[in-house]
Amino acid sequence: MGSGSNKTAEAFTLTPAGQPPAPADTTDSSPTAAQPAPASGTDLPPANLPTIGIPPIGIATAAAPAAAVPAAPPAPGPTPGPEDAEDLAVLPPAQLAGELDQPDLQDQADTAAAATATSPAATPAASPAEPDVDDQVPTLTVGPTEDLALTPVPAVLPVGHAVGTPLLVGGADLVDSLVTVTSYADSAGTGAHGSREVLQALVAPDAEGKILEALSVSTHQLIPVQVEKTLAAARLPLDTSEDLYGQLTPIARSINSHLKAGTPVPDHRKEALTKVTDRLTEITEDPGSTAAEKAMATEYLTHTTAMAQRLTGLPAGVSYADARLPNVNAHTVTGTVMVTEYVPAPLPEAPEGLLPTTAAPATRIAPTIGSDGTSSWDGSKRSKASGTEYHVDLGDGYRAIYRPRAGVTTPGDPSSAPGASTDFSLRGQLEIVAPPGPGRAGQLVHRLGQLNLVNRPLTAAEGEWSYLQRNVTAQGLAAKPGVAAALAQTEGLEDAMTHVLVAQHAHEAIGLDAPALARFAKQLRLEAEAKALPAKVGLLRDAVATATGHTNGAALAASPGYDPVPRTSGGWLTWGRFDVEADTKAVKAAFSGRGLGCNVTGNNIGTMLVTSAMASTERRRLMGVQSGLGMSEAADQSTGGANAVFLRVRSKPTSGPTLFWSDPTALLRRSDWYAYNHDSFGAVAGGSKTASGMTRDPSKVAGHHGGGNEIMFVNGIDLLGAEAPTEIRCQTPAQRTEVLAQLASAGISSIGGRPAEKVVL
Amino acid sequence: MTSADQEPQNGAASAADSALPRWAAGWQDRLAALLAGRHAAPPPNTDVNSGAEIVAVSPDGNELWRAALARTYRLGGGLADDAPYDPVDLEADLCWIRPLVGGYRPLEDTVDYAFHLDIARPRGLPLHQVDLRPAAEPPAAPEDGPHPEHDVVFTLPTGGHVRIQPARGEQLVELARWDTFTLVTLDGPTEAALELLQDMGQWQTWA
Repeated sequence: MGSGSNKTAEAFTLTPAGQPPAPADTTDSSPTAAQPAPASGTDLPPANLPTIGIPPIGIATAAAPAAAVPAAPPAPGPTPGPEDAEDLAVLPPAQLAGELDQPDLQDQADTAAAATATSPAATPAASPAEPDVDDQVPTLTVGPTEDLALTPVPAVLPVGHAVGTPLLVGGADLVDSLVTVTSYADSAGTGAHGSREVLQALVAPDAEGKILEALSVSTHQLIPVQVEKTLAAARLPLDTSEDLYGQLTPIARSINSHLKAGTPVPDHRKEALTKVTDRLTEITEDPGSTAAEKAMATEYLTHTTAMAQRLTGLPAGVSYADARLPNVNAHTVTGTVMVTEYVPAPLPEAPEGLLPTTAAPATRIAPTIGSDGTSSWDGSKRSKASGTEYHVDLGDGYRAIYRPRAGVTTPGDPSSAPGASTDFSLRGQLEIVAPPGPGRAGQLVHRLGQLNLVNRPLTAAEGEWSYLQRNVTAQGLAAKPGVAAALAQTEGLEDAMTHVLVAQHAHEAIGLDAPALARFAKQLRLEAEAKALPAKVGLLRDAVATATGHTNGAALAASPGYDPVPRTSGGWLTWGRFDVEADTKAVKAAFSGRGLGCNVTGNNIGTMLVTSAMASTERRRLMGVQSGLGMSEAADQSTGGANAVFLRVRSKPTSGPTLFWSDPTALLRRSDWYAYNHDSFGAVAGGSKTASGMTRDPSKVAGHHGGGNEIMFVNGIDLLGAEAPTEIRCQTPAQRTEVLAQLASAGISSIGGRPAEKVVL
Repeated sequence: MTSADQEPQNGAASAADSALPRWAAGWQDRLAALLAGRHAAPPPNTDVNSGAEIVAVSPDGNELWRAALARTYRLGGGLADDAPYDPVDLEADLCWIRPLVGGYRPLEDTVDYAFHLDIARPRGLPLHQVDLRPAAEPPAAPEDGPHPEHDVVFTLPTGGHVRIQPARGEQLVELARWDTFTLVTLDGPTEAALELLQDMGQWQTWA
């Protein structure tokens, strides 16, 4: 994203070491200058970050107009506060400048000096803590400004807001340039910290190498440690050791299935029931049993009693629905226990410039969601996943967890043997977890830099590039000769600019060692991308304009519907498509009164609404709605993916429970949807990733009458805002009353700007 | 969980009352038997240990994926227009099945195994060409149901086809997990709603 290639686009300048300071109005754009002046070690980057130069002398470039650059903010206090977020827009990619240019900041004694050294006024003066070697390395500065950021980092995150807050960050390093920062309500102990903030993003395949370059992965064996753990609805040890629940389930399943089939329950099931009943009775009568064990046995005995009553089959005149055993779930307790866990031994010391990292079996964050839609997390609860993940200590209580796409082996973990792979839907997933407490969003985004990822919000120019690219895909313009040529030329623009810059700055590379030279080369490439970006946007805009019947790019930009600004939808961002926006009436007319809709089964309408979104399986997992293993690649392929929600083109429903959008353009104006008139069952033509029959054309979708037609929206749909359904039809009046009560208790009075009572029918 | 633990189900022949062309009856009999695990009847006084799986095959003949199938199917015009099954207009109609993908182990200890029901949602197979073909893979056990040792093959309009055949290996294990999930973990109304094959996901609790 961003520049649209696997390279990042930044705005910066190159300045040789020792160059006099730039004019004051531009110096503020220096990332170092703009970075919060640390007052303690709490928010400082660790000492082992790579350093590439002295604090830079920033000279704002085209993407960062000097006049728009805000002054450097005041230094934050010991605890990160909301002001962190305000600082973010001027923070640089860490590998380029800013934090990585700073001296060793772990020593709190040096922090004041470091802060002084990184202030605009003091920029040319080396900090006492700065390594001498950095004087030899040319540096660059990055100057995106907050007011250019398409999605400024919020100072305060809504606590417990399940879908999180989406931000466009990271250029091409992150898929869709999207990060989601979520403030889970703190569920640890008394919840004294108030919140637990987490950044989640999907790292682009091409950027994985950048992360790995920042890590020093421990190859040590696992070592045992005693830790206190809060049990989350765990079975009693007696239940686990004797597998009492495990004995009940096959009997219950057998009884229900034979009740249903009208066949007798096999004798071996009856014998098993007698055996487990006897054992449970023993437990209840054993003086040595604990109260918890007796409670468990008593609960299980109610099930065995019910089972015994059904061994003779269905009584005359009784239906299966009436006779069926109720659901049988395990008896669980919560509490705190000391357990032995095996953790990778820490590295004695990470090599200079690398982050201490350990490999461990893969997990997923495991928040929970309440009936009011509030999402909570205790900071540690995680569910198991397949594969391996890296735990990266970012310092100051911040930690990153990354699930590499490439297979890795975890010492001591057989499941991560060579060839074992991470869950398909988990590959490339990155989490950054903040220390407990609010106000960490800015720091969370900032910390991407420590992983060599671009850590600043997208600028308007990058946003338009992304917008154009998405419209090229959505409108099927890539094959148009003019557009294809323009896309090819954009790559050439970057190369040409790189050559120019190399010629201009080659002398600065004299004397650099190999690592510094490599970084210098990257900087040149990044600057080339940044300088080329306005021209690239112009080139592609002109080509798209021609392909879509506009006079030129300027005419396209001025046309109705052209809006290169993303919209927030739930916890994610969407980009519009100007062909639909420009003529929503025509699109709506093509549907001839039909719309988009879906059935909602299982009495779930109210629960779905209070979370404010119809979210994909993967998104829901992050919200805490459900947790568990991820999809296999085969499952993902066969189902169309766990990252989208599914609707159908259909007529207005006459019965519920259904959600229905009578105006399909409310959703079709997004650029991320795709549709089929039938189910291809993953049988894609020629192994191509584009399945045969897939369309993004609104006029074709309007003609989809196939019963199995599906239209997919990536991540999900905001059910309460601009994308809200026209009507939410309940199955019964009682269900409507229940849904409205759920909405009221969650403080939701309107849906899509209309009173809830008018929408819920 | 072993395949021997599986139970028979009786919800398979949901379209039996439809007025079908004679050619359609054969594959429907076989499909119903496969889904219910009646293609290889178990000895008396035991549980059925079989069921069906779906194999998706690309136009060039490569297997794309396979999954166990839930034990019901439905013929109908889909969910789009609430249209009933129309035996005359087969081109537009579908055979609905539920591939069992999206299984997982929940974090909570109350349940051993569950399914993301948005992922394991009903899928519609086109009826424009359905055939009984000799089994592509050797049967795992002797069969005595209708049309033994034949697969039900749906040709897809996009090219390629899907094959429905006796479940084996991992698919049998997953089918047993599904049976436990629906018969033991879920309540009766939810089990019944799933068997209707009318949902498109959006289950929330088990999404």
